[in-house]
Amino acid sequence: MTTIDGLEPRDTFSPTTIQELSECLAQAEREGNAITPVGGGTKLAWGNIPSRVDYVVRTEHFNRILDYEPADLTVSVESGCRFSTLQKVLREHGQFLPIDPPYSEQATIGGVVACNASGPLRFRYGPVRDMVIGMKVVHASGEVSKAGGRVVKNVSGYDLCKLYTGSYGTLGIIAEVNFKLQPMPESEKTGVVCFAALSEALEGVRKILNSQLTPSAMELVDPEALTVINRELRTELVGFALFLRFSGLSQAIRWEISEITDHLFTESRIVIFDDDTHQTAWNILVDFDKYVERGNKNRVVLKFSVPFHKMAEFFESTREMAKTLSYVTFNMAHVGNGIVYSYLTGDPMDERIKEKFVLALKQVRERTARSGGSAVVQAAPPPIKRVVDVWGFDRGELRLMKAIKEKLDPKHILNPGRFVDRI
Amino acid sequence: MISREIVQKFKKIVGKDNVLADKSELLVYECDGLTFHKAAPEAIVFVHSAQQVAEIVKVAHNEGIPFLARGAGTGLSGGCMPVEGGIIIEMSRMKRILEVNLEDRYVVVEPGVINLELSKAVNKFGYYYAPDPSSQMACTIGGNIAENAGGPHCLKYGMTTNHVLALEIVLPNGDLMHLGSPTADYPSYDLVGLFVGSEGTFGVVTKAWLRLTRLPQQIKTMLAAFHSMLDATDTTSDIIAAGVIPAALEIIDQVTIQTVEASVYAAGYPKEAAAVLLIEVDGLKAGMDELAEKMATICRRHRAFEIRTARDDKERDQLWAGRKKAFGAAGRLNANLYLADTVVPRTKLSEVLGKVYDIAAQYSLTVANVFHAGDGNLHPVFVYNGKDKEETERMLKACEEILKVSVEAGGVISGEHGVGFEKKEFMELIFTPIDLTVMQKVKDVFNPQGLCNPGKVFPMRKSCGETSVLDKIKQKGYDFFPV
Repeated sequence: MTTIDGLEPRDTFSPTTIQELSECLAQAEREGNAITPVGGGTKLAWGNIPSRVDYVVRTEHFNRILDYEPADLTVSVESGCRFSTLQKVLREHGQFLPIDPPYSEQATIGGVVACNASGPLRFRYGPVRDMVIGMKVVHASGEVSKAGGRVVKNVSGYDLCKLYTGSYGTLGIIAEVNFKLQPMPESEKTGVVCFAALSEALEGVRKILNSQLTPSAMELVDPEALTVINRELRTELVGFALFLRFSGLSQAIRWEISEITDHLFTESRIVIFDDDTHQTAWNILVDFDKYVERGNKNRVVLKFSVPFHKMAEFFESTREMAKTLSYVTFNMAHVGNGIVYSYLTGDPMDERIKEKFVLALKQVRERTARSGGSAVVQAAPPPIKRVVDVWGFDRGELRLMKAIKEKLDPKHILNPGRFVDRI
Repeated sequence: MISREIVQKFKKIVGKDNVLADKSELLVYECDGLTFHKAAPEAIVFVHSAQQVAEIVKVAHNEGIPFLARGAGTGLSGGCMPVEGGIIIEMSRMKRILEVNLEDRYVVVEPGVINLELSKAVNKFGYYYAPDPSSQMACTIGGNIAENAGGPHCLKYGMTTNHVLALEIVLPNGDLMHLGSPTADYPSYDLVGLFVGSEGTFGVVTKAWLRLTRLPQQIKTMLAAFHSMLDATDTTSDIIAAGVIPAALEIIDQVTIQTVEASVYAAGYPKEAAAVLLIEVDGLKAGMDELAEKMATICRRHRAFEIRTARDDKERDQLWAGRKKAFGAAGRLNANLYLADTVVPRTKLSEVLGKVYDIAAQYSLTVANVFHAGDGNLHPVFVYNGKDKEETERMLKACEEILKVSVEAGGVISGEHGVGFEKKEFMELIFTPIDLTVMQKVKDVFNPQGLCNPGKVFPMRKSCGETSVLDKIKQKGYDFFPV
């Protein structure tokens, strides 16, 4: 049976219809039993430890693509459908959902949406929330409601899709999602520019942002993380590697590649990937956690969201943090979006290291807060999560969030404790 | 009625010259771009800072006075019509651009900043603000946020909601609050996304952090003229099916072409065309000519009899002027205009458009269609004489039918204008009582007293705690069917 952050549920349900799901929730609410919704189970380590887990509700039977009309460039899909299954069907029609979440083989649509699990492609296409155009949600009471619709442009009623996307299952269980889609680019290539130092790499990013180049994703990888990628890709990239994903018309991509090689970075080592290597490289970048996890069960994944001019500082601070803990850190960044992922690995945390970690996290959060950003513990073993709040969020709008939770889940049965301020 | 004491309170907060309470001065505030419905406010308060907004709202909250915020008043769904009287908080003087942050690609603005002015202010740095409602020369950012405004280019770039990063708002109880952050993935419910498009019913925006978009290296604007509307709509479907999302894909129908060409906005559209398709592609220069040729080939395949590409900015502006001023030009046809705003799945466009013409014919009305074809967003414009009660009734019936056929085709009742006062009774066409109850619950979190922009979005009998606005209108004798 699936455990949730070490908590053992009393029972697991796998409803086969919305009706059953609805009855399941209504019953749980009557009994006051807490529910944790589970899709592919790939992100169960995300979020705070739930305060209670009585039942696990699996969406595995909600796996149908309900309506796909390629000429509409939209799709309606059940939440338990695997993300990879949907992409495969869309690709057959030359279309795709421009989201590249981690664990994309096993992850389900519901989990990707509930956790707003965006990847590097967000640089061009935006985060998950920008793709969702409609939803069907089952509420704690068992009532089923919809938000949005099947069309790409819609201001009829409040945009509740935004509220549910990224709410970690604390406001309702997503049963169906409608997305707007994108046509597949005619061609794709990756240009990797290697820089000797972080400052040079960030200067390189600045150059790109100020140029006419239109990469669909930009991922900056530090030397430690690069060792993992070199191993998997059998490459010999060095230093701070900037992975630039170019997607579009073949001619345009040729021009973009020539811009980086002949104009912008004539002094740097540049490697171009196409076809298989290009695809494999992005699979590894997106699923980096999987590769770190392989050798290191004791890992803490931190996610910093900061203004661009602060990126260097937070790359640096994670190294300091690792040093304090005698840990190794692998850093990579959705550099165009100001997001740094830091994978800290080392010995199991004893009390002493744990104490140090709590302190270091507090300090780094003070700095992110000053810059208007955030530092989230994306994943960590339960013993760590027992002593920290993974979100570190305590601003004024919590009052509104709690009031929304109170209205939509008054008995706190939906993933209680999971989200910010253990809502 | 608002007492003299309360007016004094307002004057104390914003200064005596910034409050209008004289009946004759209030007339222009009776409606917005939807001139069909009117209701007079009891006072107008011009605010200059977030602090003033907070204090004014606090007074209104404590005294139980309905209030709403108004920018340029260009909205088309009666969103800033004061259906229950009360006060209008006039935001247009809060129009400073507070920060331009090119490194993080955002700006911080006050809500009274005019949409186009913002783009102009950052063009010199190579950036612009992407959402471009047709009223962008006049409409303000605050109103854009309230309505989740669209525009021709949201086909590629998304609506307002995709460009708002964070907000400072005044809640309906007068509390000042921040929502979200300009940094990514702020760990909270997406209150910014929830707020955008809440039609002024969740509070008043006092500051906004907006994403800037890089100006494209090249823009190509093409006109394709067709002898049949069906050919034009089929062309748009084929362009999308060919794996291209242009920056904009707009159709202008025969009635509109002839009206525009006879007006001061003449754009050089071929007068004999049954439909003109405006195609704009943007991006890198490399491959652009081939892309344009690909579009042209699709147009020719569907029997376009003329294809023209703008050679410079002036020609581009001219092609667009016909589209953006179409509504203004249509004013030549009759005394009054009424504009619908439904969206249907792209594949249903031809079918529903055919029904729109049928409905107009059935009700003996003139309808002009100018629409965002790429999005499936229809904009039938009815030209009618508002003094003619019978014709007005017919026109309203026809609009209702259009909403119904759009919904039957899998569409919705509004794509970018909002529900507002105008379409609230039609919410039940697309939402169940449960859907609406959930929305009402969320509204109650922000606006529990219902004083902030009352009488909007929700159908009357669903709106708990709010007495019938129609009854009130009758009691107060508002001019419900004006000219």
